[in-house]
Amino acid sequence: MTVISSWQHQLRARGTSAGAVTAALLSILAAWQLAVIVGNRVPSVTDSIQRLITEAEIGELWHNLALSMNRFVLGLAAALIVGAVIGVLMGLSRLADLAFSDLNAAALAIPAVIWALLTTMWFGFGWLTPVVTVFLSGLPFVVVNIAKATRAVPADLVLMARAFGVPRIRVLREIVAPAVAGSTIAAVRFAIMSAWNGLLLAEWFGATSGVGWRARYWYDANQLDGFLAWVLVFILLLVVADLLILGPIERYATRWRSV
Amino acid sequence: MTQTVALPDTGSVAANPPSRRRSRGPVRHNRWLVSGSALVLALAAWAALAAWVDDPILPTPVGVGEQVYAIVVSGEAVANFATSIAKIAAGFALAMAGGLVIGFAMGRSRFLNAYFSLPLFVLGNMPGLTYAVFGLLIFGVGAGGPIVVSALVALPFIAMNVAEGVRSVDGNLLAMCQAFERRRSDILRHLYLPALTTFVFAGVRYGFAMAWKVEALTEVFGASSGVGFMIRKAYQEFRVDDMLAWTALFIIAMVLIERGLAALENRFFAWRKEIA
Repeated sequence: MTVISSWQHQLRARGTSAGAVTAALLSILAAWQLAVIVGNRVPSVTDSIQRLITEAEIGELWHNLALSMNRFVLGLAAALIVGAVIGVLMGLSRLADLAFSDLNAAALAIPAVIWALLTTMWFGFGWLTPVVTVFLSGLPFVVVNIAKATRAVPADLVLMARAFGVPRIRVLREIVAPAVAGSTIAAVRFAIMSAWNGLLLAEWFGATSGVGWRARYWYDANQLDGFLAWVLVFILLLVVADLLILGPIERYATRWRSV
Repeated sequence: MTQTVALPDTGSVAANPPSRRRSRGPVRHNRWLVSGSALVLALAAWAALAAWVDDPILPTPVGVGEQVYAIVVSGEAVANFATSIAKIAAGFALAMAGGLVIGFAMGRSRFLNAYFSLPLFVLGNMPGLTYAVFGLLIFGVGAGGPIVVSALVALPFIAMNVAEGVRSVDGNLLAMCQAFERRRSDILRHLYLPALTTFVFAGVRYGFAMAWKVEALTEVFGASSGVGFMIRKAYQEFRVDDMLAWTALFIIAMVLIERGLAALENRFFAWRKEIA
């Protein structure tokens, strides 16, 4: 987990020069172009972007994105709520910690593809397959990080605040919130990463709509530019969610650490 | 409130052993009892659900246990896990070579650090699906796809950790080495190597968990052997019990390897008390 956060910090470090990032982007494009020339089946950048524009024009892009986002948010919200309850229990009670930690370690080890295939067999081609997969692949990450956040509450500071009669709302805002913010955001971030992966797989195997299904549609039609166009969308969504939304929130919430 | 907030402290026994020594005994004693009974409860809930559904779509724990036994006895388990682990090991060797070079460059140069950050972020966070499909498209159903995919997945974790390790090297020691004109190999051997091993280990442990999942996924999409291939076979034959049996084996193997790596780490860093 520290690896990821250092990753973020490095990416957004004050020293980060825009030049280096531009150079990196150019290198990625150059590598892609090289792959186009060397590998005979890799579609070019312009072809993929062209295909993406066509997808947007015929309405498939927004339609499938909206459908998938609907399922994603539903499953993720369920995972966050259930995971927060179990995680807080684990953080507060030694008994719950012992009871759940081994089960959760096992759940962490299960790859999302197994959930996707199992839910496809269980629920068939409906909305339940992607939603349950999103829920199950996000849940263990939420549990682990919320338990960590709960344990990070400085009990002695809370006790001292109570002894000095500090109002509850101030204790929450100034002692509890800063302590739990980092791990809570990590919970959301890991849940998003893992659940998004699960969503794509579930829609690939067991859905007739959504972004994963659309990517498979192009793959099955052997039109790799269509598939690559959707991969671009996946990566873009990830960068937006992680670097542009969660990243700044995390920096704001943990700003007291770096001072 | 007082009780509930104060309780978690007993969890971090190692943090202040003297004051908590009294509570340590009984807690230790309960550990296996509690986690064992939680496991039994979960299995009982599963069995009850299976009895209620009463359909091959949700097999009983006993049925899955028999399937696990059958797989292990037939030798399929060992054979397929061996091929999968061999592919991951080959991929990790590649990732280690690349990660050392990139990580070293990132640790030493601010520009290269910023330069590699975006590509590594994309590599480390790309959905497994895209890796699996590209692996299949470019390398076909052979061993090449899973090997390259696990290398690409593990690379960012190793590179980031190597960079962190290089940064942790004491600058004063480096300056002293220069002042006393130590050879380059000496600096690498005695200064960088001990600093890097801890960080590399952390990268390997985390990278392994990620790499194995994506490697299995690649095998689901296209392979002729390996755990992922067996999972796909179970799916195509619509055998839920077979799939659950392989899942159970997957979890067991993952936990065993994780434990093994942790033990190795303890052994390696026994001389560094503050880490172990």
